[in-house]
Amino acid sequence: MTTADRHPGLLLVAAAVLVVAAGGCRDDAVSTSSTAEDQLTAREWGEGLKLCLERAGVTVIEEGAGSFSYDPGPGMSRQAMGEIEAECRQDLGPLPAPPTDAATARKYYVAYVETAECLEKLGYAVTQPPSVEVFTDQFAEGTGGFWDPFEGVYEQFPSVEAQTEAEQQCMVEIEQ
Amino acid sequence: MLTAILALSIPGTASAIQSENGYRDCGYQIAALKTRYLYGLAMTPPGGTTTNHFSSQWATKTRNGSYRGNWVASADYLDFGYTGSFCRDYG
Repeated sequence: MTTADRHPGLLLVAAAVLVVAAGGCRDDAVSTSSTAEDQLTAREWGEGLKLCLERAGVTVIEEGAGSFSYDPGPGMSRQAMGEIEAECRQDLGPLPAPPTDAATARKYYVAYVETAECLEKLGYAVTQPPSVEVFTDQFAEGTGGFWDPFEGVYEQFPSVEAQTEAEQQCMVEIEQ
Repeated sequence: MLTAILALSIPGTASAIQSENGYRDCGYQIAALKTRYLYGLAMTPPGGTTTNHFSSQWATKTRNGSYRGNWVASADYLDFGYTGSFCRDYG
């Protein structure tokens, strides 16, 4: 039995790091608050999970910006996929903590303000953004409870088509 | 791992939209679920199929559908207090 057979997770992590490094995507600004050298970034952890799922036959749909959806592969039950995911997660180790740093908060803020302006141009009433200082404080809590330019806007969409159009036009990808 | 649960309940014909402790009641049959999450997210509409998503940064996910009953969402990190879910009736 080879090392790879005994510790497939180690290879997955290494592969994830290589994939990210090859793409030049590693960005300390979106790393977690951990400073340990061996701590995977959120992007690397996600790449590792994606590779692990794909290798086990799970269908993965890439959505960009470090996001993907996944479904059971052909002939695979949801329970089986859940067991695969659990094994992959165990191999990868603990998830990075949510980012809380001011530099990352500012990236979200800039993107969200742009989104709010776009929604207003489309005729929707948006909640006014807080100051960048307030937003940074909200972001630093690490709970996801920060201002969202779409808050209250979904209720204004007259149709699913209008919602889709607004999302496509106004959602701004946050730089990683 | 922090796991949160969000349920979207649609009881009868009540018209008010309420949000409390992660539960939101919609007074109509047609609804959608929107939530902000980080890392793994599972969304299950009433009687429907679970969808699984992953994002390495805070993201919002909206799933439309015509369902009556409880939606459930779980994620590694899930915010339903600030941006929350929403209810919608396109009639």
